[in-house]
Amino acid sequence: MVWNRKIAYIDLTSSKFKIKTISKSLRNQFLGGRGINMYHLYHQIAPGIDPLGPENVLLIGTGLLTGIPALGAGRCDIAAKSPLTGAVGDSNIGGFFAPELRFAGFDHLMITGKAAKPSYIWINNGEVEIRDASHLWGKDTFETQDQIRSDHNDEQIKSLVIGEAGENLVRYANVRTGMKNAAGRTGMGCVMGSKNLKAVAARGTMDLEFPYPDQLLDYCSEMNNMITGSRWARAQSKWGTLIIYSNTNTTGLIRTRNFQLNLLEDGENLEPEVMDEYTIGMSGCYGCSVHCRHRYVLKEGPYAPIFGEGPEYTSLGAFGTMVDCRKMDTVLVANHLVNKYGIDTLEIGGIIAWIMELYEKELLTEKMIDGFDLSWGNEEAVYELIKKISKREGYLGNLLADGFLPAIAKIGKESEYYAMQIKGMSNLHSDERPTPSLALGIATSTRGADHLRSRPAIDLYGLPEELLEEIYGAPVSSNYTSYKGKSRMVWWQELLYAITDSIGICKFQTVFCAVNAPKFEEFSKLINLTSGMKLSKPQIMEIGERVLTVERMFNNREGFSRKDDKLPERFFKEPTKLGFPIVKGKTIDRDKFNTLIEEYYSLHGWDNNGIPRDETLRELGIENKQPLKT
Amino acid sequence: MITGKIEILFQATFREITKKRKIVEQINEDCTFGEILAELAKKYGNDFFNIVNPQTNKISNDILVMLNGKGIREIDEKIKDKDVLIFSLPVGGG
Repeated sequence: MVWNRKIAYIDLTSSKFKIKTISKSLRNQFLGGRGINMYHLYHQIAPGIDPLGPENVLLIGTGLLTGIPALGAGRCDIAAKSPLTGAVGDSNIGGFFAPELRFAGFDHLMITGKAAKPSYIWINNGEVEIRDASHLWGKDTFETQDQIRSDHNDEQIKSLVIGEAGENLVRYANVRTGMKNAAGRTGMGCVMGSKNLKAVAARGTMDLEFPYPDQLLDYCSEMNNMITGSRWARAQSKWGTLIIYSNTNTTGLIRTRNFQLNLLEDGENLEPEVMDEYTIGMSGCYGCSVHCRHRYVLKEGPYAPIFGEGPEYTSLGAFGTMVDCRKMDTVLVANHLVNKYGIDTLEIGGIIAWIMELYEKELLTEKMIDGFDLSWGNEEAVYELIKKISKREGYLGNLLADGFLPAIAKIGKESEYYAMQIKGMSNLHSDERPTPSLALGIATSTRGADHLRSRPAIDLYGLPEELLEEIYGAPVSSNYTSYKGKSRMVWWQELLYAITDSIGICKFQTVFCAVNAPKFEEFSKLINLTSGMKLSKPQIMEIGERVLTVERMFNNREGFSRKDDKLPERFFKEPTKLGFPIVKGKTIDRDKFNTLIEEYYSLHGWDNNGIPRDETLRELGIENKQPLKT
Repeated sequence: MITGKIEILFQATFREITKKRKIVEQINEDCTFGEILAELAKKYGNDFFNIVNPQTNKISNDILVMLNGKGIREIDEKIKDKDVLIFSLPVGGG
């Protein structure tokens, strides 16, 4: 049952480990996945440590619901202090690893220290081993997974692995599993590399226990029927997230040429239907009834043949609009390369777009250009930069491998204005100037510019205001360019996603996509049927608040506060140039935006500097572990 | 009396149904969205009628219709010369 689930504490320095039962109070307060990881992040990591030192703690956590056959309940949360931002490092990955870890007897892993040589952790039916990975070092993420399966002669093994980018300590290296799944953001692959940890492999045949298995299966079936019967899920199962492009690139909500335009003209070759030419089917993660990712074959071109999965909408921006490459082939090759090397598609796309704009504006020296032709639309430059950055080759590869902030320090202050980053992390290719709610979300996210922490995507749909009030609990404007009620929207979605990540389900199957998708009420029933825990909607929202506040406390302790909850200056100074009249000419209004931030802090119970108030900490039962002020 | 032209863009399922990305339609004076919908249903079938929730007589919440970039829900929304209508589905993601 839920109270018997295990955590393994693994010290790579001493090669020792111990196994404990996850405490009842921790489960009650943080549920699992991201929630429990954030508790440990805050309590186990001393302030100011080097994220690449052995003292950083790598946390791997399955969700409370991981393993149920619904809502994509195969998510895994990976956390550490981020080597990219110095703030909360946290990233979420789908696929099949998380349920396999549970079948192998563990919900959470806490990995400390540094192995003396390349190693991997092998977890099998309640046993933990640290094994030599010398033969895996240097292999890409596909080869590594294949080799581990081959070594154990077991095709069912699921692994979290790093590629060359992680080995080379690229600060936004990701963690990968399967053909396509990635814990992409905040450099968790870099942390694994710093620990000489090439992989965590799991295989298990242990049972999962549920208190009400028949009712749980019935409810999962109900959820799956509801999801598959919806128009949005049917569309996602055909076109994946690429479908978003048709709309955003018509309306004018998509970053183009870094941030110079908000729509790619003549961008029809990136429309979702173009993928039909390459697609050989769709696939999904564990427990998913949608199957939103393409399986594709690229038969021609210098990189062919390529068999891959994806790309997501994110990659369409990273290797399409942001760098002004207008062919799906380019996106597919680049998508394959980032998956192979194990590097965050969004971060590297953002950083290549930035360097291309600096090249255009003649802000780079010859040494920095490093022989590249960084002109817009040069797909070969994109491919070469992915390789050079992943391998840390050449001046430019090394420069960009450390992320925005160190690169800005080397290139010069003037380059900062063009860097579309927040807290050192790149923004998605969405253009939030016309959408205050989306802008507020990226500014305040605990892990840097980020659309997956609080994005109220339904703000774009022009839904009836009475419906929005019913969801959010207070008046909210249905106009996406309005500021009214948008702080509340972001706050509510932030709590929802904190819970989504803690119970281990897919965000796409929540009120990310559609108003009638599952939210707190459905979570309450699922939590009960899965664990026996009885939690009301307000209690679940309070847990979400606790997770967020702990993250905020971690960041505050590392020196982050309101001064860091900001947008790039271009949001305030450069009006959007293209799109419909409702979008064109838009900037973010600085005063109104400041008010939004204050409202948002107030909803969380944080003061005007973004610091959780003492009474908030008391109510949430969070210990104040900040250094004493002298 | 014909008073103008509008563009209608089809995305996602609607692109599949119509097999078109864009059409141009002529409109009469005092044209409403409901009239456009009737015309589209005549040309492309009842899928267009089905976007209206019969209980509320509004565009269903799981459909995204944008008029000049803004989501609309009312059937009697006025449509005028040079307007652009988008038929799409609300899908988030990243």
